[in-house]
Parts: sequence; structure tokens; C-alpha cells
Amino acid sequence: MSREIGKVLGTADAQPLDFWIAVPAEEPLQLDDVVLVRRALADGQMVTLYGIVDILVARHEGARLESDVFLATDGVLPLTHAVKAHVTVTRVEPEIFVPPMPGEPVFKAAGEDRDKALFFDVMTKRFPLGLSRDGEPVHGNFEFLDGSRGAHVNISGISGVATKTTYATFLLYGIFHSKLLGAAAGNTHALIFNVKGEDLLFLDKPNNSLKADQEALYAKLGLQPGAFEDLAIYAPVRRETLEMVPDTGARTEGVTPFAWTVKQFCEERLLRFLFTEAEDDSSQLGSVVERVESRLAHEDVRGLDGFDDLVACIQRHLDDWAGSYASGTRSAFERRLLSAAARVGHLIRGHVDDAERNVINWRKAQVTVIDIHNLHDRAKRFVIGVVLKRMFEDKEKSGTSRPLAFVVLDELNKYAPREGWSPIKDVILDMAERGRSLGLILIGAEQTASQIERRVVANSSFRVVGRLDLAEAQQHEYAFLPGPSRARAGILKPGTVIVSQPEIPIPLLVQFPFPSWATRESEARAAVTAAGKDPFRKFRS
Amino acid sequence: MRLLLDPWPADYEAPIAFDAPESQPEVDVTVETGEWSAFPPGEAGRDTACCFVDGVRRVEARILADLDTGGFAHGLFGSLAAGYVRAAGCKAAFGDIRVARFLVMGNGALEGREFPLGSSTLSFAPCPAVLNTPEGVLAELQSRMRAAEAALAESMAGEGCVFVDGPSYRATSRFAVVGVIKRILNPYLGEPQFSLLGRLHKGERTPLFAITDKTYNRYSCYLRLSDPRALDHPLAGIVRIEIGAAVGVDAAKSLAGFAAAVLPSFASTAMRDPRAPQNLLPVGALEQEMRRRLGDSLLIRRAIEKELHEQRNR
Repeated sequence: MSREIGKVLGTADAQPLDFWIAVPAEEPLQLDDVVLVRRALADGQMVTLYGIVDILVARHEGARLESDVFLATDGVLPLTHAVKAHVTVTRVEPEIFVPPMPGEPVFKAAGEDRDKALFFDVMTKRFPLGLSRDGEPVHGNFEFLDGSRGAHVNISGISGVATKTTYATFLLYGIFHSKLLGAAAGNTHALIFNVKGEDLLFLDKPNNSLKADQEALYAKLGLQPGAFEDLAIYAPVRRETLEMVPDTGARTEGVTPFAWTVKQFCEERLLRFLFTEAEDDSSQLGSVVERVESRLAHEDVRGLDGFDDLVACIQRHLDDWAGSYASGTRSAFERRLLSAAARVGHLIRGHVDDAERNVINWRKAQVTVIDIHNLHDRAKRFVIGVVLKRMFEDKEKSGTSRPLAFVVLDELNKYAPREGWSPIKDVILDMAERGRSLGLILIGAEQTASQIERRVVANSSFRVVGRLDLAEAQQHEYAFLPGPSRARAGILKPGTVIVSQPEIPIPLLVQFPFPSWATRESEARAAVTAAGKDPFRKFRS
Repeated sequence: MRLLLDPWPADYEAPIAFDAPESQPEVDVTVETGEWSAFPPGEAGRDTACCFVDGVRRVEARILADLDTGGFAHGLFGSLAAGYVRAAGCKAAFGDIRVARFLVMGNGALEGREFPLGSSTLSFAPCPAVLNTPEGVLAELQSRMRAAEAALAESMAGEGCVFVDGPSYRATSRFAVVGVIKRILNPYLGEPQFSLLGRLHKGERTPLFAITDKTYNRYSCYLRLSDPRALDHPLAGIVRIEIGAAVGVDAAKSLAGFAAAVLPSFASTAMRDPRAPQNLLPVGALEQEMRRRLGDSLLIRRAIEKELHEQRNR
């Protein structure tokens, strides 16, 4: 099965953890190919070194001057081609760290050999990460995602190449649609924040643009192409209407509007999530917010009709509740409260007919999408903060890490920035640090990992990199990428990511298939007509 | 007095070294034309394959043998290689490269040696030398190399035009093989014919002249590979070619014309080869490749030392 593709070089040092191989010029060995070499020891033991090709070099042998190449192509100077490949060792079996011997044949690993090289053979629970360059499946060890040995995924990449959220949804699709979760699949939930466009509002519709060849890719990963069947979509209520109507564009059907009542706002102490600008720790503002929050929790707010009334109520009592603070701090509080009222006020209502229905319930469906893309930044923060806090408390109360709950959040740099403190950052950090034991898995994404709170990134077992700005790729946060991978991160095509996972000492380049669920209205709408559902067919004779 | 440069570095033997030979062979300068003047550069189709045959030799270690019969013999462990480059169209590639090793000894001593080096075995074949002197055993190694070159050239009959370094072509008398001589040792020509050399331009050649001596009859001419700089001696950049008389004067003319047309394009430059332009580019690359194929000299020297050391214990 495994085929010889070259021999260990003798002109460069061969080491137990990396070595060079000479490759015949006609051999189409490429980056990311998985190889193995054996070394027989004097005592009869056979050591197998598995590795991945991460550098490939071709040159003219015998040339001494740069212009020799012209003489060679003119047919005057005889030169030979030499191709060499650098291999980073991923696994040594048994663990006897000896260098491979120059001259030993190197094989391209296939089948069981490849599984061993990439540790797939010891992954008892694995989920699909995508396909390697040569079309073979690449798995992730689920134990490093479900909290048993690690948790969380962090995805970095520039925006606009449709990679980060698509890959996050692909991971969820793989987890939910492989047999991995077994009976727990029904109780496992995912919460996705739709922060940009309406891309994620059609997850339950099959994608009509899916080409036939993509189905084969899904099959290779052991998946059936399809959509997220059990989906709940929440959108903010429309401003300036008393009726509870979701504020969405392309999709209105099946969308539940969400809002909070003033009573919920006070009882659940949500005021702090209006003050989510990153603050300096020394600021007194947080303390004023806490004081007002605790007073509101005990205040009778039944008579208040909407958020403006609540603001007026707070202003009335401010001298009483927070009299001991400097007037500057109090006016800063007031200023921020008023500006928040303008942005977030419409989400907090005096009276809602069916308050329970309009509250976001992440346990209602397998996958819940919360659309916040057309809210102001401040309101986005408020919604994310409140929902995550609620989710965190729910999980804490349940006291068990199963069933798992996944949270997909893009633009982490806004919510968990490296500098400063904010209540949302607090929740996200808590999730990154304690979520593992609570079964709360964060799939976070951002353009630049260098601007994210270090602990959020550090706690992620899976690090995923899409196309990166080359300057960003040089930041320390990407130290897990070897030099050649960093350079490649600058030219990754959509649908291609580099994934690092704890067990494999080298990040792998994977391609993931085109989404089989609709990512925009056109992909969803056409599916209906393509299926032959002609609304006028009754009128034809 | 005017001083002019001989462009080869001083560590090489001089390219122009007039030796007074003991017997001057008979030279006929009228075989091609009655008028002694330069032939202009010709056109040659690049599709005709040009093969360049060359050899290298290396003394791995000099030895002295104590003979069982008394007395001693001079000898050496020597390696040699013969190979060729085939250039046709836009492709130049190494052809067959043959490596041989000999234990050359004078005084009638005849013995081979075989010993391991790493995972391979070094095998020095027995080879008697006529003269029992250090120069004599070296000359034997040299003649073995010439023989290997000739055998290789002969095996390539029919391969376009075959150029052989030095006089080795003589052993292949039946074939159309051109010998290329880099150094001018015997001018063969007297005045006024010889002075034409200094006036040759790149690609031009002298008319053929016939050399008749006791050992070998051949046709020869001088041709210029590249124009000398103003400070170089006018004889710099000139090679002499030889063609066996057996091929006939017409075949010799066409071979000489072809050589004058193609060889300047294979001429080396000073930055690529110290013996530029006479050491042709394919030949320089071939020498480098053949030396590589001879193996690492230090390792072989060590292996020989080990072998000689262990022989005392046997």
C-alpha cells in the first residue's frame, strides 16, 4: 500500500525528529504528504518514523553560477535536477528516538500507515476536520473537544473569504451528523451568533448550488450532505412597533423575535451588559453599575412602560442610590446609560404578551441561531453578554458536563479584546477556562488572534488558521505554525484551513467541502423550485 | 618588447609550450587547399548530437611493495573514470560514466586488492607497469584512462559527432571521431603558415594539414574558440583538432567544418573554468561529475591505510 517515494539524504543531518529525503525528479511528492521510514536496530527491533513533508526544494545539481541555468537550457552545460523534501516527524513507533539512516527508502504512507502517522488509530472518538490535499480524510480527536482532555476551537483569518463561520458550521455539521454523539445527539445543542450578513439564517435549507462532486467529499468523511434539520432562529424585535415582529430582511418565516421585559432586566441584573465598553480596572463605574443593579433587583418596576421609563426611574434615584460616588463618575454612568438606551432600548419592553416565547431558549432546538447582525455594536454586546451569561448559569445549575453545548461566536476581538476589562470578556474568559468542565464548548473566530485575550486562545485545543494577513502571521500567537505554514497562510484559498490539534505535532492543511446547507437566500430559494414545486402546477391541465 | 598574458592560471601547465621534438613528423599543408588562409565560421545545425568524451584519474595512494622474491616495486592505488556528455538540440546530459580502479605495480608484481568501505567494496584490479618508477606507474594509469576513453568513444559510433579529449581518439581509428587538443606543444606548422593562428577570429579555422609520422597518420587544423582580450597573447583561445587519416580527406574536411561551427558555442569563460576557453563547458562539467563518481578521496585513502594496517596482522 505504502509506496517508495525517495531515500533519506546523507548530505544533510538526519535527526530523530526531522530529516531530509532525496526524491526522484519525476515523483510528484507535494507538501503535506505523509511519509514513513523504518530503521532496523541491532537488537532486531524495527523503529518506524512517521512524518509530514513540510519543505520541498528543487535545484540544479552541478551548477555553480546563477547563469548556468541558461547554459543548461541551451543544451551546452549538462546539469541534473535534484529534489529534496524535509520531513517533520509526527510519531515514532516504538518510542525509540533514533535517526533514520541515509539511504533508507522512504514510503508515502497510505491506509493504516497514514492513520498511524496522524494518530487516527488511537483516536477512539473522532470527528471530521476535512480532507487533506490528496483527498484523504483528516480527523480530530473529539476527546480534545468535548472536555475530557481539552476543549474549544479558535479560528483566525481575514474576513471576506467566507472561511471562518463556514468552517465553524462545517465542524458542527460533522459533529452532529456523524455517529459520534450517539444517543446524546438529540440533547446536544449549539448556539450560533449571526454577527454579519444573513449567512447563517438558512442553515436548515439544503444548498441547491452543491455540485455532485462535493457529495463524494462528504461521503469520504462519512457524512451525508444535507442541512441542519432542527434549527431555531431568533432575531431582535423591530424597533418602533408594539407588535413583536422580527427585524430580519431576507428571511421572516420561522424566525422568533426576541426581547426582554423590564422586569426580567431588573431581576436578572442585566444592567451591567449595557456597560460593555472595555474599561480600565481602576474605573469606579463598574461599582456604580453594581450598586444600581442590586437596587433595581428589589425595586417594584411593574408600573414602568418600557426602557425609557426605567432610565427615568434610575435617573430619579441616582443621587439616592449612588450618592457616595464622585459626581464625575455618576455623570459618566448617566451619559452611558442614555446612549445605551438609544441603541438597546427597543429590546427591553414594558410588556410582552408571551414573555417566555420571546426569551431566547437555546435548548429549544439542536441548533439555535441568534441574528444580531443589524443591531448596533452596543446592542450586540448586550445580547451576547446576556445570552452567554444565561447559558453559563444554566449549565452551572445542571451540574453535569453532558449533554454538550457549543457556542459559535465570530468577531471575538470585539468581545474578548486583549486590553481592558468588560463583563462580556469576563463571561467569555470564564467559558474558556471553566467551560471545559461544564461541557460548554466555545468555537470562537476572529481576524487577528493577536488582539484576543491570551487565555481565550491558549485554552483552545484546536487552533484553526484561514487566510492570514502576512504581517499578522508573523505574530507570536501563530508560533505553532512552522515557517512554511505561515507563508502558506497568506495564500490559502477559501475552503482551505490549517488546523493544529494537540496530538499531532505539526499543523495540517485541510480542505473542507462546499457547505451542503444554504449560506444565502438564493441558495435556499432556488432549491425549492429545483425540487419541482411549481406553485402553478394545479392550474395546468 | 611587448608583454602579453597567458590566461590560464599558473598552477596549470602552460597552454602554449613549444617543445623541440626529437623528430619532426612530415607535414603537408596542401591537403585541403593550395591557398593558406582562414576558413570563415560555418553554420551547423544544432540538431546534430555532439558527444564529448573525457576521462579523469586520481592517485589514491602511492605504495612501495616488498616483493617475496626480494627487491621492491613502485606502485599506486589509482582510480579512473571515463564518461561522456551528449548535447543535442536544447538538452545536454551526462551519458554513461565508467569507473575503474587499479593497483598498478612495476617490476613484474601483479596483485589486486579488495576491501570494504562503508556498505560497498573497493576493488583495485591488478595492473602491471612496464617501468618500475613512480612516473612509470603513473603513466600506466594514464594509459588505462586513455584506453577507457577510447573504448567509450568507440561504443558511441553513429552518435552524431564525437569529440574526445586529447589524443585518445587514435585508438578508434576506424570511426569519425575528433580529437580536441587544448595545449599547443608542437606547432607542426612552420612560417608563414603558423602566423595565421594569431589572425584567426572566433569560429575561423586554418586549412587542414596532414601529419604523417611513424605512429599515426592524421589530419589536423587549428581553430579559434573565442577572441582574446587585448592583453592576452594572440594564441590564447585556440585549440587544435585531429582526425584520423583513415576516414579520408573529404570526411575530415566536413568534420573540421562542423567542429569549427559548433565548438565556440561550447567554449567556457574564465569565471566558469580556469582553463577557459579551451576546457569546453560540457567537458568541465563532466570532469566535475566524474571526480564525484570516483568517491571521496579522503575516505578511500583512509580505507587503504586501514587495509595496509590490517594486512600486517594477517
